[in-house]
Amino acid sequence: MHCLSRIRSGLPLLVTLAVALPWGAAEAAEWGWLPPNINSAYGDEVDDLYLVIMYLVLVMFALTEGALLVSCLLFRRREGHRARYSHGNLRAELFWSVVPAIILVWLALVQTDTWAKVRERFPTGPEVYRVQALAEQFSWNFRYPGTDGQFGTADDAYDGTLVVPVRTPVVITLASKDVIHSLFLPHLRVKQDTVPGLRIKVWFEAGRVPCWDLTRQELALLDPEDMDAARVAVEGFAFQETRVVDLESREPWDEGKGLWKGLKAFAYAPAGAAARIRHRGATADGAHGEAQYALHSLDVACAELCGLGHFRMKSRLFIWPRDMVDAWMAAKAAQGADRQLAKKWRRIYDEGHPHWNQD
Amino acid sequence: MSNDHIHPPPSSFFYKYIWSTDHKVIGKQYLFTAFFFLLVGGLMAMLMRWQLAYPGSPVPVLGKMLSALAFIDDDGRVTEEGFNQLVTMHGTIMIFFVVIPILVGAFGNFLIPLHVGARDVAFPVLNALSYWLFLPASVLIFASLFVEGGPAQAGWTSYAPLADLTQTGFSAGHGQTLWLLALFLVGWASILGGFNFLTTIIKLRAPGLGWGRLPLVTWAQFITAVFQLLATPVLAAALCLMLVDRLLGTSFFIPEHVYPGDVASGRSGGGVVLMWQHIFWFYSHPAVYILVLPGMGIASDLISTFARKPIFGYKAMVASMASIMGLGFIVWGHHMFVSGMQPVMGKTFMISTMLIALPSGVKVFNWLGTLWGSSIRFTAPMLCGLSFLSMFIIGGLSGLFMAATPVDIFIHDTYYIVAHFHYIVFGGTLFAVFGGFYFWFPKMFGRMMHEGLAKLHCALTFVGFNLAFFPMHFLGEAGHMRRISTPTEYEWLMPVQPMNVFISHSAFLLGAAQLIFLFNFFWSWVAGRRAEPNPWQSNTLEWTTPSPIPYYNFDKVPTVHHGPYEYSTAGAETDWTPQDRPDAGPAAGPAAGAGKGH
Repeated sequence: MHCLSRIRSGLPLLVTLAVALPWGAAEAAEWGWLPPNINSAYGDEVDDLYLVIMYLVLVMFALTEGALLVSCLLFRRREGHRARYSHGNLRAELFWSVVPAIILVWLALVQTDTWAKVRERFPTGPEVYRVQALAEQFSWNFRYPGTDGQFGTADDAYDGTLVVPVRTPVVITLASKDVIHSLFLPHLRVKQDTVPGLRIKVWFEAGRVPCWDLTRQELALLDPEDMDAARVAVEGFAFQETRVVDLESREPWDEGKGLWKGLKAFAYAPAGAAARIRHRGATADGAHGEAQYALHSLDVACAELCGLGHFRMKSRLFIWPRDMVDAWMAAKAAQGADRQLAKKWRRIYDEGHPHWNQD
Repeated sequence: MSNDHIHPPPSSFFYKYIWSTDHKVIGKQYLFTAFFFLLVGGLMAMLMRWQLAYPGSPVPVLGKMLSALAFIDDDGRVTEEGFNQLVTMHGTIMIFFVVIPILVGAFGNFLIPLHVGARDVAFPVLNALSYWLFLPASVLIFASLFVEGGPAQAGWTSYAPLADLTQTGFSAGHGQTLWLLALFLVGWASILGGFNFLTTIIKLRAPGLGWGRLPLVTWAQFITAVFQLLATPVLAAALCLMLVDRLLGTSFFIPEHVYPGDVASGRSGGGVVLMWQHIFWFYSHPAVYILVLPGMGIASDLISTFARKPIFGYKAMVASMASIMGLGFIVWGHHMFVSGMQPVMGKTFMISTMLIALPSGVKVFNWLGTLWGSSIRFTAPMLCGLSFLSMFIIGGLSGLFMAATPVDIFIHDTYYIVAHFHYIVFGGTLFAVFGGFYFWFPKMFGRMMHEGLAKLHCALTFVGFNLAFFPMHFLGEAGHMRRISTPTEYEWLMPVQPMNVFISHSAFLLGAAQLIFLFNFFWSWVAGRRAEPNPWQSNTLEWTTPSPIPYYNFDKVPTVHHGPYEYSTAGAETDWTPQDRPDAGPAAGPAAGAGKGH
């Protein structure tokens, strides 16, 4: 009875914490915070593993913090009452040593296969789409093999953006010409340092095409087979960035739009009278009003502090149907590289480490 | 130690307070130096949080006052370039010039001789020398804020080759060289301190004070000292190599074909970039335990004392700390899962990292076991001890995500890591430190700290800390990179920007709460209630001395009769039993602990 009255007196605190703490944990478990995952090769496995650990952690969290709270409520000092004299309990100690040990070993073993898939088992074969990356302070450079499929030839295509085909295994070879950078593609769960003197590979397969929903003005991820029916504009729409409000005002919210003031506002707007729309397997001209979506790109970031201009090191990731990628690459290859850019690639890849151009 | 070896205290100001060999004064020297840097590092945190919440906006009030610093422009804005410097110096200062000096330099120095019943450390002059290496290091790191080009900007990890190269505009300037020199000196201060503490604990224990009767805070300092002796020389060697790379043009960490700014590095090459990371983390992961083990020790003392109950599973607690030390040397690679290290190594480090969670878990369960069936006094030190436990649980559990290699890829270098680290080092260690101050202040200064203010500080810190750092898990889950000055530049991070603002406001609350602590500390020092010898009715040897403790510590070297946590023994008159009291009652703890002291 005494215990019950003690618990009752501490009930408001217990209820508050019982609601507040799981709320925070549940928020974390919600996928709302994670960026959308479009890596169809191993992205789901990674996210599932995250979720498994999250549930495990939530149980442990509830048990331990709960025991702490209950102890604080039950065992507050009372006049004339002494604590129970005890130096421990071997059985209890064995229990809470052995059970967590089994769980931790299981957790370690269960993820080794995913790790191997991510870092060791690289796809091979002609269907693999290969790209080389050359990181420098403070930009990303990408090189594509052109129509001959070989790097280090006159047919190579160069660009500062990453353009890859959808539903195709992509292997990127990473190198750096100065300091450590880190290629981070959040929507693909890809992150890998680029290290001077090392060639490091990463791979992924993008399962969906990032588009911009022109009605809702938000990111939409389309399956490639749905693109035609969805009426996606592939040209003729410009991606605009505008500052919403002067930062000096320091008024945090623009209530009407739900936007953070001082942010760049992203929106698509018609650049010309007409937009080219991908429609039923072919491209057709149409008025911009007919398009429901516009092709969009995703963030490419550098996750490693790489110098004073680290904040400038960004790029964009384009994921397109294969035919569009091939056409883009052919056009880029025809342009070639300017002298300065070609020199960078020669120094690190073609002359510095020629074997890096091979598989 | 013979009882008649009492030297009179020094009479001159210089020998009493400046070149003092008294462990208590040296502890306070560390303490006040660290307090200064706590303000500096804390202010840097506030500047960073302002920039992250309101990118590009002038910092109110302080901005223009601080515009002489390299990372703030004339209008009082934190510059995007300077943000790297803020991040670097905040981490460096908090780790090497605040937390380690307080935990080891201040608490270690102050408590170890008292807990083993000695009149000083084994090598008092070496002890003074340790501080006098630390002080010039402090001057160097502070001076680096004002050199041309500003302070170091390569992160507290100072990864090569960014920290190694010297090309202007593309790498770190003089500030980085000063950073290396400062850490080199700090490293030596640590090594000397560790050597001294180990010798003191091994050789100067009072009669009857066997290993099984040492307070856990002293065990924690013992194991920390082993860490320091084994790991710090490795860091010192790496710092030397990087220094000669920078000053003499060698290439220990610079390979061939490096072209910062399209210009050849001018080095012969042949170095290995990842070698720096391996060496750095071989030290710095154990350093994380240097940052937390003494906190665990303090928390153990606080929890047992105010729960009025013996610590649950004393031997397991010691074994856990020893296991953390052993495993701590083979887990460094989990910081390098995305570094390009051989993937097979990733698996190895994943397993060892999973396993190191085990001893930490055992400690948590044993603290909970101590509380179960206890009689808790909710004093300010106890509230801090309980906060430590609560925060350490969250920090420990979030570490599991980092141990899982495939998951770590995504959360690596995000705010998830920032949250985890701060839950361990701020939420964990600093709560233990605050609790330690409230607990031992009477012994340090002879007065009590104001209990009401202390509880207010603890409550506000608990709330402010959790509001500031728990949401960082969400940011990390969103992929929000750390060390970026303007998150609003990234499209996918825009939706989480309101959370950044919320976190910043919470951080300001957290920062303001620390002013209460500082006020309470200095006010109590001058005008606090005079303390009796044993105000908390605690068992360990320091409480058998007057408050404040005299120069020679013990009038007579004590003889220890039982363990440090004999609370609520059956048949005893009081619910505490000082270690030097022979009549401990019928259940006076395990006799096994009564090994021979010296």
